[in-house]
Amino acid sequence: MTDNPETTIAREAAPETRVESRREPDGYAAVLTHVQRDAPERLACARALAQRFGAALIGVGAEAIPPLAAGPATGMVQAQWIAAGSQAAEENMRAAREMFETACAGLQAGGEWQASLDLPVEVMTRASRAADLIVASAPDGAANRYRDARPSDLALATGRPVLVAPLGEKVLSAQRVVLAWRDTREARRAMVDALPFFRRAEAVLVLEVGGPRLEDAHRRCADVASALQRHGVRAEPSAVAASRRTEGEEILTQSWAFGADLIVAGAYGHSRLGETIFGGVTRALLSQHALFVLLSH
Amino acid sequence: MSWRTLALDLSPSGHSAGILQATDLLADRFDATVLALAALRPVNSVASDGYTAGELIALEREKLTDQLNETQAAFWAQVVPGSPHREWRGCVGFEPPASWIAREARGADVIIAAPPAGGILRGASQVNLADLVMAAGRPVLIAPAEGRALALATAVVAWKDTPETRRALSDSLPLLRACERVLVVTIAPRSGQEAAHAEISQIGDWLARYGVASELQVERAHGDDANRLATIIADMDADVIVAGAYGRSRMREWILGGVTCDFLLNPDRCVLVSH
Repeated sequence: MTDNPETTIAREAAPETRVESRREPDGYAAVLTHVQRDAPERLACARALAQRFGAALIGVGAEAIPPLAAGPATGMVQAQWIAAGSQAAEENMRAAREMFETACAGLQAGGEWQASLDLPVEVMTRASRAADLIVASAPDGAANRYRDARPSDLALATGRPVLVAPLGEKVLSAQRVVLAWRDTREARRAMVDALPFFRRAEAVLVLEVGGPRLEDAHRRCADVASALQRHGVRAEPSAVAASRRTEGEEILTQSWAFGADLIVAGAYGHSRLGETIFGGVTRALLSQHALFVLLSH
Repeated sequence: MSWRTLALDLSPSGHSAGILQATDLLADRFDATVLALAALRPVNSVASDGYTAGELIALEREKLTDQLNETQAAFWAQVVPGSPHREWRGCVGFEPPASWIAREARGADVIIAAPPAGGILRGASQVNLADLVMAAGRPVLIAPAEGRALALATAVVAWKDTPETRRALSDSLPLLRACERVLVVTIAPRSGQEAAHAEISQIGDWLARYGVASELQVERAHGDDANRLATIIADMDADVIVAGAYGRSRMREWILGGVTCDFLLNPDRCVLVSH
């Protein structure tokens, strides 16, 4: 089994390769985030990641004017409502843009601003076609879809990995990372999407909270770990038996014990009547506020 | 990043020429490990009234086991001594073959498979390609036994802004970086030409960040988009097509790059699809 990323790099820089493809991007080329004046931590996190990966930072300013609640509203009231709403939204977006421009100063691959008076999740979805990683965080308090892009909605709508930052000013080191494994499409996606993080980590734990046959879980984790090793990742397999805790709690407990600050997992869920319904593990990972979570769907 | 592990689906016997050619080329190019997989399921267990004699199933299992052993022997016979790490995993069982292949390919960066060879019953005993694409969470490179061989010369990306196409594009980066020429083509109605140009140039910029120089083309929709796309691909003499895929009703209808088409039922060159 070859375990040497340098071999590939040498091959790809071989003379038959075109000049343009000689650059070897080893990570995310563009990091996207929704910039809001009351969420400076999110922007700081996205900026730090763009810096780490040498990626461009794409900032999105987006806010929609909520419709006036149904009632005996006259056309005049509607017009005033929209005028007042768009003025407030534009003011917020102007502040966000200033924040973004300050953040972009000194950024190696530069920044790009996109703004639109539309639902944040929709603007983010459009912008994400040219991005590799989305940085999101839960809004402080209840989410309002006209102002906020919820991490869970982004994970489902964009087809891109979404890094969910915990509340507060936490800095992601991603030196020790846990891959929450399950033999599902979503986990297989997450494994590939997180490779740039994995390759820079000092240790990656491939963790499966075992079902009835632990030796099968062991074999699966070992299989995944050796595939990651071929990508130059320091990965180790770990299958643990199901305990009295739920799977989500077990993953969090094991991650703490491993000293990880990032959990990579599949986002299990679907959208139903505009509401996102999530599986138990995904909910558990989204409702804790200590660790970073990278979700792929 | 590059492709370090290639999984092959060798379940359909006798259709593997394209798979093996593509695998050799990619394994050599990326210095990758090759994982050969084959899964077969007794048809009688699926297409019976529930009262099929156990003896019949046992007989069929035996036959399929023989077939699997032959496939395994043929795989090892064509491995050049000294080539990169190779591994074989086979299975005769009652699990749907597509889900077995998807699971065992958990460590693969890409799965290389043959286009489906007709017949509904055959489909039941072997891997259903649409199911594999849906379940894998990996790109699937469909390599036909006949037609244009994979050459890493010209790739055509059938662009349509859906999560599947975005996936296909990120998934195919190692492949696109290895190709000499990359064309991104999108088909848009007359009223959407300007937006399509803006969108596709964003894609060109994104590819450029990864060191992929691409040519961009916006085509006007005329109704028969599938044929238009097929013509462009043929004119370019592309050896690989990249597209997002939705599969519906078991491969009878595919949405590829935004157009319904039957490319995948009978492709004349390699197609890389993601879901």
